[in-house]
Amino acid sequence: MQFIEKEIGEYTKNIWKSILSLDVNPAQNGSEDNENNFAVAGCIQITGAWNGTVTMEYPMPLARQVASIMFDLNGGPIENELIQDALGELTNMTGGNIKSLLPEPCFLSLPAVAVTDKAMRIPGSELVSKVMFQCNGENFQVSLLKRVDE
Amino acid sequence: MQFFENEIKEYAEFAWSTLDLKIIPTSEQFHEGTKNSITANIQISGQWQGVIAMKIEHDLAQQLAVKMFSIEEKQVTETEINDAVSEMMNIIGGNLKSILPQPNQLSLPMVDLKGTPLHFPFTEQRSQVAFACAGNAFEVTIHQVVADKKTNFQHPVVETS
Repeated sequence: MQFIEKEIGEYTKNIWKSILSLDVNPAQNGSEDNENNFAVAGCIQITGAWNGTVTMEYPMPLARQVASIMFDLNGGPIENELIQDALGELTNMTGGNIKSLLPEPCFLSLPAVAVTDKAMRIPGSELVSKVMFQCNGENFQVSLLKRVDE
Repeated sequence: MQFFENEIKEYAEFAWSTLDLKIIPTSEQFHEGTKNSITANIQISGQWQGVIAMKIEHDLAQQLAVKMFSIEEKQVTETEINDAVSEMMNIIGGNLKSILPQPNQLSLPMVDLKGTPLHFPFTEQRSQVAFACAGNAFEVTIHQVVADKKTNFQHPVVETS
């Protein structure tokens, strides 16, 4: 069992259900090919008594679906900005909930989002949890990275 | 005149001058992808909320590391580049923090050596100032949180069973 893996699973499931009415289920950690499909990545930093980063990454089809539901677009065109805002929102909520489990006081940064074909890299930190989920046939992942003290 | 444009110029000039490097504000936009670039940002929270971001060409970041750590170019590793860019981001962010509404807090800087272009949801870009330094370029931008973009911008704690 990874660091707060169970809580990450439950928070993610509950957030996606309550905000998007989407069911998500745990999935096996993916292959590298699978992770290369993650076209959008969001991250939010936690600083204070515990220092690290929460990231959420998913593929473009799921990104469009999430933005469409969150902003009631009903199948209309989806601007990149809305895809970014939707991921920012989910990253913020997930980060906020994870923060509540960590030693106090901790502060949450603003989310940052990258539309990228490269995996997001957070220098100076190590992966402490990576949890894969499946939603409507698409995989996505939530990771927790802890800053490495030099 | 953009938001704190003069101050961005002043603080960037100051930061670079500590390493004996001269910079010139330029009207040319920073072109991503033409050369390897590095992205960095630092956040301010409190009475003013937003992000100060920087894009910098790799060669210039390497030059900063050479000057900052008094080492040869061939001795520069990703660690020195990361630290040098972080420090410049910290100086510019720290100075801007001091003239923004108080109280506010500065986050730690974040650097992406791969130069992944980052977007900051719920913010609007208020300033964009580009500079040239010894044939290389960098730019500093300010992004402020916009209240009306913060739809559902809450993070209620979801109960776990």
